[in-house]
Amino acid sequence: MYSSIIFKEWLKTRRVFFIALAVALLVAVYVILSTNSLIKEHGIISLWMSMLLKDVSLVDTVTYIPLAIGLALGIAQMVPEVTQKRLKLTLHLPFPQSRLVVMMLATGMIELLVIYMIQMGVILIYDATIFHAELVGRVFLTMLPWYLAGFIGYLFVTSVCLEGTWYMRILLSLVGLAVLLVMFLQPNTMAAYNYMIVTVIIFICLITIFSFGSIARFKEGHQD
Amino acid sequence: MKKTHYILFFLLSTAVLSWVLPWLYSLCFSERDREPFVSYSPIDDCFIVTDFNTGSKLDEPDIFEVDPVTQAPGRHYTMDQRDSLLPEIFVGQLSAKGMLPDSIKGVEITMRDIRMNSWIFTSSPKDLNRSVPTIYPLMESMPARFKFEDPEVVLTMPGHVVITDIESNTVDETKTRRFSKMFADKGFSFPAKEAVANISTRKGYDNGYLIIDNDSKLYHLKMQANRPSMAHIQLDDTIVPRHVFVLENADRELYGLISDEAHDFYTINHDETYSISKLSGIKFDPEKDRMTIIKNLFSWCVKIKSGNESTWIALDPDDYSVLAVYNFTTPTSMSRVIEKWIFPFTTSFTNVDDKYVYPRIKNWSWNAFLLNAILAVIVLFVARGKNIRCCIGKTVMTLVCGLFAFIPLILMKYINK
Amino acid sequence: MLNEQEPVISVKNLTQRYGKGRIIYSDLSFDVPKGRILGLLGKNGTGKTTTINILMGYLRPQSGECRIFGESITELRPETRARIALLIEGHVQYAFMTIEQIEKFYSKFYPRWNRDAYYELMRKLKVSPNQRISTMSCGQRSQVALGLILAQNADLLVLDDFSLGLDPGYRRLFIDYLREFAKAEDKTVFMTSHIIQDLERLIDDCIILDYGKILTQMPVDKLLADFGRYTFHTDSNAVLPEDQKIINPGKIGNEVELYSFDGDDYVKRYLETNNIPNSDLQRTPISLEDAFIGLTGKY
Repeated sequence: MYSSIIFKEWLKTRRVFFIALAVALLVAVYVILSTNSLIKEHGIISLWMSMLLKDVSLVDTVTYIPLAIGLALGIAQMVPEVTQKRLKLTLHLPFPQSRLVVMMLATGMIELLVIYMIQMGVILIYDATIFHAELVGRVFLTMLPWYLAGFIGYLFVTSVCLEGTWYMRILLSLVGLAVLLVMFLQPNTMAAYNYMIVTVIIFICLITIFSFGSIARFKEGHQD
Repeated sequence: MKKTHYILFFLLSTAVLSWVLPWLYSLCFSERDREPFVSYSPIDDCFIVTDFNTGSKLDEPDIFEVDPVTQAPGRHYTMDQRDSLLPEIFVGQLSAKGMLPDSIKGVEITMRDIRMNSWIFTSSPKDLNRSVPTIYPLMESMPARFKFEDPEVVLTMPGHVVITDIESNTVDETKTRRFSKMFADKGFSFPAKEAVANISTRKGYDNGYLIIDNDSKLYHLKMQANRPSMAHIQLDDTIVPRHVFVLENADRELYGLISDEAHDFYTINHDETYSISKLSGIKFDPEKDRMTIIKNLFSWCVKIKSGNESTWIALDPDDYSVLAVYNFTTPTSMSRVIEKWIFPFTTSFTNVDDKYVYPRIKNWSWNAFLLNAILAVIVLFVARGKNIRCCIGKTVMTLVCGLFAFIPLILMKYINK
Repeated sequence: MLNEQEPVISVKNLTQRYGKGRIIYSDLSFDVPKGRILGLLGKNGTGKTTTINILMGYLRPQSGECRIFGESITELRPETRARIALLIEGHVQYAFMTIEQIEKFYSKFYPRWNRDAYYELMRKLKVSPNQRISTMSCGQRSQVALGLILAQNADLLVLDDFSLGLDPGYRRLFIDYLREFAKAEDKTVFMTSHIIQDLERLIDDCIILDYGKILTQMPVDKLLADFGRYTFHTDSNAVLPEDQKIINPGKIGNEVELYSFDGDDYVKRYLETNNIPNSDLQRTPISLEDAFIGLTGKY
């Protein structure tokens, strides 16, 4: 049954997954190529100095990509589930409903994690060949909030999709938008979110409740 | 699950509104207060204040001198008069008009003298309260062609010295050995608490690094001809350095400045012994306060801004004794006063004094309790007859969080309709 | 565990409103016994789909209790859900799956999965196993949904308006398959449809809902035997007087039509007692659709 649920989620998301992976990789390659071109133009020392003294991370292009991927994957996964109220089919499956929602969200989040890790991995492995390990760590800490924002975006969009009423969808969207704004208050200051990373991870765990809540409301008949 | 969902959504909405509403409010109603421009006149031996708030127009500010003892406003001046009273600041304007005096206080001056002996130092909490790499680029202080070049190696001091070659991103074993020996010889205690330098190729000379070690001992490090040059700067036992600032001014009088744990401020004089001088009358916490020093031939004009309070202290450049003090408190704007009646507190994620993003609750205001109480009564009225615990919870939240809780409660009233 | 005598579906005192407004029905009670095919009939807006939503746990009723296989519908165990096949209005299925994928998906959930039953029906559809459901016609989709229901081999089939969007051929196909399956395997079926004529061939019992109440609940055979449509000619212009046992009397010109459960004698007595001149009084044979219109009225 577990494999069947994963199979269903995969069928819904595989196209977006591969497109997102391709976009993520293209952006990673673009970051590498533009860094290479900067090295050719100004020399590696100049790049080190920019990173050390001017807070330049060289990965700005990535900033909103994880969020866009998170939103796209959430929509791809949940819209087929809610159009024509197909959620009824899913909720009718002979499988514990809370575990079912966990499986659905986990599949989406693992897909995101794979895309994010591949993108981040490509960039950081390249960076590690030319920059000091601590600088690579700082690039990681700079990018990490962007990826966490991707998970937040994904979870908000899933809860908005699963929600049955437009009123609550709008409220959830507004709150989600505000939370995402927080995640991009200083996107290009290196390691600016260091004090917040753990809080954000706990927050991500907490907001999974919204998807459960939306389904609980659906089951009570709160549907437009 | 549904209850947890509602509670979490309510709490999150409240938190979000405590950030968004004050932000929108300040966006709509914030008034910008212009601080006065204050400088010490070597002609009148007092502060000259250029106040942009009280003048009739922005380009016609109120300019007056301040009594060095009572701080009371004295004579008022025109802008031209003010320029003449501050020749070392308005040197360009005066020179263009041919009004630059030949001497001040019996000392002959030229434009070059003024420029060579003037410098500005600024320190902002934002520069310190941020994540900085503990990778320190090492400049060659004695370049072969007398032209500074970008550093080719970096120093790291996790628990020992490592010099890394930037080009190859590998450890430079030779330099690492040399520097390690030097650090060991000088009794350096790892890891370093702070290491500061001005890494720039556009400067006249290089003062290298000032480093505070783990035992709060202060060191001066340079790389000269690819070899380390290191000195332990002796400090009185009473001085426990917390932050250091490297100066590379044209007058070559100082290596740098020290701010200690007691928030006293010192100069490291450019001499063989690295002598230390205390700046009188200055209490400065670089992590919270902003400082501007305008130094010229005749005075140091030190401005310290701490919250709404700004203090200008004029110091004698020879012995750093206090010549005059001027205090100014930025008045609380009307929008800020009203804000205190509306919002019981505000949440912000960023701050002008640092470069971190994390939630901080501030501006607690008892004045808003009145509005909170009214809103709590409305909530109590609307929620009457429901679950008593839920009713109390909503009322208490509104009493504490005011509008921030009231708005989500009202909006959430309709989510099950 | 449910014993043989207990109804498969038991609804007691169900009350439901639109939000806090109009009552859809109040104190609705009915049972669906094992092995019976029960049709829930009613005009649009009488709460047919609402009832199915409540039964399947997608809507919490204002009050009342519903049990399926003896379990409260709010706490149906997954094992119990496995015994219930559900057809959603419009034959909605996972449209992003192909015929093959959807079979593979559902087969893992149901222990009594009958793969052959599904593929037998699919072969008749003449669609490629790799064809996505979203690219199929409504009729083809209905067959996929039916195939899945047959393959699930559930004890209870809940079908919400299976005829929606289907042309007569597919409707007939659906009904034939379903009836054969239900009768052969002793399945219980609870269904709604807005095309009443189809159900006559299928259902054993019917519940006819009107706004806010049940008009009748009985076996279809009995309904068609007992419920009579009477027509006669009259020259009187008087309005037909009200009588609790004379249902929905209507007059067009001089021709009168009325319905009653109480037989020819009662109707004759009614006309005589009320001095209604009549000629050519006839009881005409009726279909289920006629009975439905007779009970609920044309408006």
